Amino acid sequence: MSAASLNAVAVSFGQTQVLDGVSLELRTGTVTGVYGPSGSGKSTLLAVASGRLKPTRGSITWSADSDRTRRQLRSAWIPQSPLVLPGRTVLDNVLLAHHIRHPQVAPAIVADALRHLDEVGLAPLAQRNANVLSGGEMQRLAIVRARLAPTPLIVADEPTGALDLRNSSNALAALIAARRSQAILIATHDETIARWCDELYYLESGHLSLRRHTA
Amino acid sequence: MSAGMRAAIRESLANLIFTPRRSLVMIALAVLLLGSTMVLESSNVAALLRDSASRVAQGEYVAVVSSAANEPTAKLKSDACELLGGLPGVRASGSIKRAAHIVFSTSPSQRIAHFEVSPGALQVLGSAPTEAELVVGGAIATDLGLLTSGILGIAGADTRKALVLSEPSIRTGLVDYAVMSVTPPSGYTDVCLVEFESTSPVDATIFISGLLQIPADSVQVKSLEGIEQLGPSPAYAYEKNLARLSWLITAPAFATLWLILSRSRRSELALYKSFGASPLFMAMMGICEQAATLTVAALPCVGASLVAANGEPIALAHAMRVMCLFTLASLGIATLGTFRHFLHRDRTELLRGSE
Repeated sequence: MSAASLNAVAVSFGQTQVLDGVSLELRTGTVTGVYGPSGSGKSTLLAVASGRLKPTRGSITWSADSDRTRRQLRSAWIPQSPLVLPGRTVLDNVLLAHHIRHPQVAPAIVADALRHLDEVGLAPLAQRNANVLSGGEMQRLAIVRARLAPTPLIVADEPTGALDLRNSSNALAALIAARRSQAILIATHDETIARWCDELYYLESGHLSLRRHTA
Repeated sequence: MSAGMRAAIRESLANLIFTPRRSLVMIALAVLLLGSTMVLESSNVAALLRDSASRVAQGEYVAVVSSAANEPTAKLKSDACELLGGLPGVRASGSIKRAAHIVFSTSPSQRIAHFEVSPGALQVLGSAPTEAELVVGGAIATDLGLLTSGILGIAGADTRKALVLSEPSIRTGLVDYAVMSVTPPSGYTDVCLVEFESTSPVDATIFISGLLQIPADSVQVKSLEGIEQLGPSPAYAYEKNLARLSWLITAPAFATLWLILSRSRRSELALYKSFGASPLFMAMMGICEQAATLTVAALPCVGASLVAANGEPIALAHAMRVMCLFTLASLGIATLGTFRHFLHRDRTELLRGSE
């Protein structure tokens, strides 16, 4: 099932053409990777795919838009540097998407959150202040937060870029596990991540080209 | 209330509670800016009211009306003078006419200055209301050895009930050395005392001559001794005082500081937005956070304003009004700033803010 579809998308900032005629299909159960040199437009592509930036030309279709009554998000975002709501518990942080929609989060969702935290080894820290987590723990928190968000698409910008090897592996495992129910789009320089991608694209000078496809 | 709104309120309160240092900084700034604005307003109004009350007590708005020196025939009618007291803008009025000296049957006998005053004039002079027929000044009473509220015998006259006042008028010491016969107004009078409301027009001569229906150049209007005649009313003085507009500076200053702090929370706010918070949700959350901050800050501010009001309810009411204006202005500016940020910000900034 398609979570998002980009059709001939172009983005320019003033005279600078950042993306030019990019088409991409992001499907549930698929990890799509995009790599390329710095300044090639990876972050812009992620911003467009997540719905945070309108393209100058072309169109995007999100499956979340077809069922707005469920108040789905177009995408969940995992930033390169871990971000948490200051002073809030780990549990509060991973439930952010639900807190924005409901003043009281259903017990079933809380239980689901605790299960996901357990999967990434953060369950014992659920009631701890998220500020005191290490960088690796914060990134795993960000991944759980994205997995719990009511959206068919996760967009991750260099999700392991700021982590050491061990933390990077743990975070990556947690992210790839989300493939079961969500489409994942990752911008990366990391070859380890690239190996996990079902589809790998190379982005340069605003143009996207498929480098690898795993059926 | 919608679920989204309740969620925004919940998030705003959680943000305030779980980031206590940041909240305390904003509360301290709010106390500083809102408090100084409220205290300034409260103390200004209290000072104006205190000053006005003091000047009114001394007779600031009392006009002493007599015939002009070059118009000796333009006599003032006592009853017309007394009737001015019932007109709009006039607090009280009454006539004072010099009468024959009173001779007290002491040995040696004493001749005392004697005036016929109408009840309205006694009121203008600031004497306590009395049913006595005579009011004897305290200085004279001391000389004569009179007791307060005694029955006084006056040579050549019937025995009359008299009242001895240690200070017959709070507005002029002259009557302290005189005896005043309280008589209904009749005939012509030497002087007409008119006390205006503090909001009355400044040109008293034209006003009074119009009321008495005599040419303006036929009357002479003087102030009561030592007091500037018909000075500005407290309301007028307040309007002229630019300090009343201090909230126009402090409220935008607070809103600006709030927005600067919001910029330092850009990552946090980007996180909210990337997980589906709409501009309306963000604005609602900002309003709630700011309103809660101002509510907490208002408590010491109201307390300080209460002290500065010095027991003047009007001064406190003014401070509360300024608090409402400050709150509305700062909330409005901060909300517009939030909307501008989320709806119209540059696309490159959007990307930067998300990373």
